[in-house]
This record gives sequence, structure tokens and C-alpha cells, in this order.
Amino acid sequence: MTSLTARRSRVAGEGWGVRTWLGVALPDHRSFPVVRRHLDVYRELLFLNLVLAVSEPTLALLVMGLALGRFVELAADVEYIVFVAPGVMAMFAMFATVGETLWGGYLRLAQQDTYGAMLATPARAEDIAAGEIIWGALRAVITVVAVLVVLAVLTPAWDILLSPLVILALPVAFLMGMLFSAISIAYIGYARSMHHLMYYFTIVINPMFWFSGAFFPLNELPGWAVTLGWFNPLAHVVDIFRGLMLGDVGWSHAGDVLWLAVVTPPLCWLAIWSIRRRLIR
Amino acid sequence: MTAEPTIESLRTPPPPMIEASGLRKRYGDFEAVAGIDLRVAPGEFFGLLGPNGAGKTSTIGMISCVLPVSAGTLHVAGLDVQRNDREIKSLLGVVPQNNNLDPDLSAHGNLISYARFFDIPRREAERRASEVLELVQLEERATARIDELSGGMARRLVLARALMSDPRLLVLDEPTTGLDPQARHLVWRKLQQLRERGVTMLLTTHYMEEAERLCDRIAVMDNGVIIDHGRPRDLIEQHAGGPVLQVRSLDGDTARLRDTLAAPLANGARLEEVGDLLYIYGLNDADSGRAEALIDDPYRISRRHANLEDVFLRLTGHGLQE
Repeated sequence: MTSLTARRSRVAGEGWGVRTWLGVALPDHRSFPVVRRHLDVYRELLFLNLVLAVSEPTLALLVMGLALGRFVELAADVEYIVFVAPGVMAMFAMFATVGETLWGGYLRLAQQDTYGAMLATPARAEDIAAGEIIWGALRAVITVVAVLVVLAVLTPAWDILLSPLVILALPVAFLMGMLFSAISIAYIGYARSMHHLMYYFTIVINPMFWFSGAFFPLNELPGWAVTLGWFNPLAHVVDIFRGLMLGDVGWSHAGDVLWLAVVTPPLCWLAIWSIRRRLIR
Repeated sequence: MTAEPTIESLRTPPPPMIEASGLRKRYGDFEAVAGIDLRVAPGEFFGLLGPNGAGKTSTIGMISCVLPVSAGTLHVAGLDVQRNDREIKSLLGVVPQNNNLDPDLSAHGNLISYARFFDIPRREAERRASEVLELVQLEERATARIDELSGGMARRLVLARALMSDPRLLVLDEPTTGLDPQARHLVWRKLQQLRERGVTMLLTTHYMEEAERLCDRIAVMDNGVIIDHGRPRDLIEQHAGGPVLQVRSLDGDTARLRDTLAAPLANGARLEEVGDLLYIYGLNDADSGRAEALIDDPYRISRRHANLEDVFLRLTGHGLQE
């Protein structure tokens, strides 16, 4: 059966005669061996990885929250460390995902030919890209768990984790991880060298990080900046995390989740399409 | 069309392992494979012989379903590569030109990780991993990191990886390029063992010795087309004939050398030039004796058996390796 978007190309030269949706086939369970491979590698250096996952956010929280916090007075009556905690969590989750999928992904794609080796199995380019996205998302979840542990330790001193709702940060982390994996992987399909990755990092990731509302309230900026901030996925994540930590959740947070849920699938499609285009010539 | 199975249909021989017709591969304006027909029977050891850029790697890329076919048809084990890529890939073991082993995993880890893509259960994967490591004589390096392996060991591990799925067709893209003679002979022995077990082999190489020694049948490729195919011995017989006289010219002056040898060459001998060397085919004993007397310098003239490189030279007018 053919529909408007699903078609089976039979013409030689038109690529695979498999069913494709807008140029890509649907990934199947062969994405999971890709995730398992990453898990194996992560577990090899488990201790180091966990130390990194915990120590970096701890340092950031103490420096930002306590040292910088002494000079900051917020309009709302909260301590700066409490304000900055959800931002630190979102930011490190983003960095973990981007580091894994951008640099790690590019290495596997262009230098180690890991994807080439995977293609020699029943896996397709689509499965490989999907596996990378899932692993990137899991990296965000792992990071959020690590930061939550740190925050839980700090909570008796400063009231940071005020609500059990914070457990919902895990699925949100998975969603944001998919989003940041997807844009990074879409980009590596185009990158021609390691140097190109820096453009993406400087032009795309860095501004998202600074203007995410992690360090200062975005909504107190001029109107145009608030509008611009709306397009920043990390700003929505910070909003959600902040609401969940304070136990102060409203419709605006549902809007944030909706924003992420609407934007992520097309980006995943783009990432899969980009990797397929790069691998299958 | 009748649905009833008949004795005739039950007797139908298995489909060829590889069947290509009018197969082409284009990259933009460049045509790497320019319409080839190919038929490899199950259990056969088939070689694609040709220089770099002949279209060998593109051909096996299409066979292993990682390059889309530009035109023509291609079936592997009776399945269409454009429709059944997953099924075909599950029957294949691929040894690529580059050792794309996973540097973040151990030798053993590479095998286990690979097996998961074939839905092989863990216990079975472990059993096969020890089996293939033993086959390629790497059982003691199971826990080694990839960068600790020598070139020959890494190559054998790539072969072991390709065997994890118990493939029906092994696709070998220049399996011994860059190996020292000892390592090369070890790989050859392993390939011969596998052939005896009934695995179909498709090998690309630009080493004529490799093709001659391993392959039941070869296709000689140049500029994206198959110029001739057949059993190595038949091809040699047909195109190069008996012994070959190889003469080195002085200061690369092959024209003068031709003049010098003009007399013995009168009797229907054929001549090819590669660099400063002149190869003379089809000489009878008397003529070749006269030529040897004319040159009278064992450093410059030698007589040898014809080989596949001569076949290639006769067919294309240029050498296999530049």
C-alpha cells in the first residue's frame, strides 16, 4: 500500500526499494545494539565518568550559587543557589549530550569509521542515527540523575529540592537529550572536519547556554530578548526544571513541554536524514 | 502459473549467490561501475582483479547493500539488494579495506558488539567469539585493546568479526593489502579453510598472486567494466600463453630495445611495455634462446611463467600496480 508520504521506490537510481518516509526508512530494533555499544564503552570508564558527572556540577553550583550568589539579589525572594540549581542541571545535561553526539559522533562517523562497521551488519544508517539519538538522550538522563544526587546532598543546607515532582525531570531530560542529540547529529552529517564542530558549538550551543535563563531571569529582559529566548530550547528546559524543583508547576510549564515535544521529532528526522545522506552515497 | 509443487520445481538448483546484470554505479558525473554482468555460484571462490579505481570496491559496496545501485539489477542469494537489504546483510560477512575495528572496545568486545546487530543471543555470541578467535589464532589477545594489535592481528580480527554471523557469503575487500608475507600467508590459509567449509567468497585484490592462488574464477576489471573472466589458469593460457621473456631496457630506451630484438620477434611474438620493462609473449624456445643470446646480460633478461598480471597487461595495455 502506498500513501502520500510513504512510498516504495522501484526506479533504479532512486535509492532503496524499501519504504521511506520523506527520504528515510523507519529505524527498528537494530538501534539498540548501537546504544549497547555506547553503554559498554561508558561502563569501561564508569568510575571516571561518574566522578566527572558529579564533580563538575558540584563545582559550578558552589562557585555560582555561593560565591557569585553573595553579590546577587533577586527580585523574587529566593537564594541565588536555589535559583541557579535548575539552570546548572539543564546546562550540564546539554553539555553531556552535545559532547557525546557532536565530538564523539563525529569521531565515530569520520575518523574511526564505527558507523561504516555497523553498516556491514543488518543495521541501516537510520538505525545508527536513531541509536545515537537515544544514547545522547540517556547521557542527559544520567547527568540529571547525578546533579539531583548533588542537589539532594545540598538540600538540608539550602532548600533546593522542595518537591517530589522533581522526579519528572528524568523524562524531561530524555526529551531534551533527544533534541540536543538530534541537532548535533544533523550537524555532524555536514561537518567536514573537527574544526567545523567549533562553529556549531560557538554559534549554536554557546548562545543557548548564556541566554537560557539559567543565571538570570529571562523575563526581566527587554521584550525582544524574551521573544528570542522563546526560540531557545534550553530556556524551556530550565523553566520546567525550575518549576519542578520549587514544586511550582503551571500551564506555562505544560507549554514548555509541548514546545519540546513538537520541535524534537522533526529534528530527529533531520538528524537521521543527514546521517543517511552522509553514509549512503 | 501453477501453485502445485512439482518434482521439477523441487529440483530447481539454488539461486546463484551473486547475480548482477547491467550493474552500474555513478557518483555525479563519474561512473565507477559501467555496466557489469556477474554470476557467482554458491561455494565458489570468486575474485575481482583490477588496479585501484577499477570499480571493485563500488561493486562490492552494492553487493553488501551499503551503496545504492544506480542502474541494472543485482541479486544476492536470490534476494534483490534494493528491496531486501537487511535480509542480505544478515547473510554476509564483510572484511572492508580499512580495519574499522572499534578502538573503544577490546578484541572480544568488538565481536560481541557486532553479534548484537545480528540478533545473536549473548551465550551463543560468547561461544562463537571464542571459536572465531581460535580460528584466527588470537585467543590469547581476546582482552587486548585494538591499538595493541599488530597490523596482521587487526586484519585477522576483522576477519573473525565477519565470521561471527556464520555468513554464507564472505566479502573480502583487499584482505591482505599492507600485510607482510607471513601474515598474508596466514590469512590465505584461513580463507582456504573457510572455502572448504562451503562459504562462498568474493575477493577483490590487486595482487595477482593472491587471485591466482585462492580463486576458482576471476573477473578482470578495468575502468568500471569486466574485460574478461574465467579460471585463472585458462585466462593465463588464453591471453599470455607459455613462458614470458622479461627484458629491461637500458636508460628506459625501450624503442632501441625493440629494434635490437626485431629479428627473433618476427615470428608472431607479442610485446608489452611497462615502464622500462619489455614483456615478450608467445616466443618459441629457439627464438627465446636467440633473444637471450642477443641481450647476454642475466641482470637484464629473464624467463618466467606467465601470470595474471600478464593477462591484465595483454587485456588493458597497462599494468596492475602503477
